[in-house]
Amino acid sequence: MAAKDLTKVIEFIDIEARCQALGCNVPTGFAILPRNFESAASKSDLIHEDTTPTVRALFAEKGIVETRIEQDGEKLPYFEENSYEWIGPIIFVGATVFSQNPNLITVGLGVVSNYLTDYFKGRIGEKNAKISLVIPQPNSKKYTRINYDGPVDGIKDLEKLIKEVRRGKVKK
Amino acid sequence: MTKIMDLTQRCNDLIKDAVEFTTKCQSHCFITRDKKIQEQLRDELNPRIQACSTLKTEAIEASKESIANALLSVEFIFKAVYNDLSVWIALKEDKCDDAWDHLITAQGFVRCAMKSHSNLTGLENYSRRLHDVERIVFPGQIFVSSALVVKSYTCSICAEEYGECGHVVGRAYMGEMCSKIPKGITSVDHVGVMRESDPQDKRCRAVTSRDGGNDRDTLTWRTVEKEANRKDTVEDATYAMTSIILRANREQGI
Repeated sequence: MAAKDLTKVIEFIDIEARCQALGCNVPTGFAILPRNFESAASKSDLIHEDTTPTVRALFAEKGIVETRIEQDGEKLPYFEENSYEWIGPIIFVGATVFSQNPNLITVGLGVVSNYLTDYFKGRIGEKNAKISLVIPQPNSKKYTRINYDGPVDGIKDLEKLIKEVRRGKVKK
Repeated sequence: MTKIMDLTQRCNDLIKDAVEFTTKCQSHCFITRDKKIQEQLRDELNPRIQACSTLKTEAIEASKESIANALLSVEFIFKAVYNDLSVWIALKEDKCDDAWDHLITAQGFVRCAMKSHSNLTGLENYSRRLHDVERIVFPGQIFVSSALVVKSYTCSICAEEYGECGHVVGRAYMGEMCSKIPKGITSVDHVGVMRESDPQDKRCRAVTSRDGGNDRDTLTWRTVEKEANRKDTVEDATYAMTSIILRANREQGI
């Protein structure tokens, strides 16, 4: 199954400006964005998906360093949906990842995909996951969001779509 | 070295017995089987669970993680079968709510067994069988899912803040399954009624449903008397239901 069929590519807000407006750190590499990053009225309203700490642990295990938007010692609450499907966070992939170590994208998607295969062990029926990726467009202040909603095994195929979006080859 | 070999041997013997005994138990997980036989088998599981736990402690003391996790997997499958037998016993005692809860608990334990270690085979089929029982033995249920705002999570393995400690939910560490424990539920954002999808915990469901002015138990379809102290917001509502929206004891590894 092609990942593209299960994905939606849309424009995203200017991360740098939004972080500054909220009083958050501006991420440069990988960062996990709160679920209401675009709409929160203030920093105190920001809230992460409850899967965020798991993704953070998985990334840390693979040596993927996160440039967090939270300042040191700052903690955001978590939103727990308690649904059957796995609702992943919005993962920002900063420009330095593309310029310095693009293979970390493969590693990151792989570790999440492998984790979810184990997570859904013994579950009968559809094993669906939702995850979003935000990537910067080169030489601009524009950002693109890729929303994935589909079977777990489609996550690792998102890498190809990320590259196409980065090259500006996908219509929004 | 001899001590480790002995530990490995006793673990293998226990697994062999577990496979034989749980297979025997599963052959009695039917409505037609005699209740006394089912109760007897269920009672025989308790010392086995205890023996498994004792051997696991030895494996932990010897720092043999793979053996400890294999024994954790066996422990989970014993508990799954215990709950499976309890489904049929509860049905015969006309305790349909209990039967439902045992079934969902059994499904969860099978998932935990599969996540803990790959030593036991045939669990995929067992999982499918329990799913079939849900569909065929029980009427379709309306599930409920609560969206919560949680301040933070504690790791069940190390009691540190989950996400910062390095452990990952759903993985077994030295004979223990990692789970994230909510610490400080600050609000309930919404409660969703799920007609076409499933919640994480199927024990959260509508337990009564209004039909022609009567509140009926969703499993037995018996009329349920309104509790004396309950106040409906809309007294003459055509449709109303009472639901379990949250359970404190969650499935491990989530």
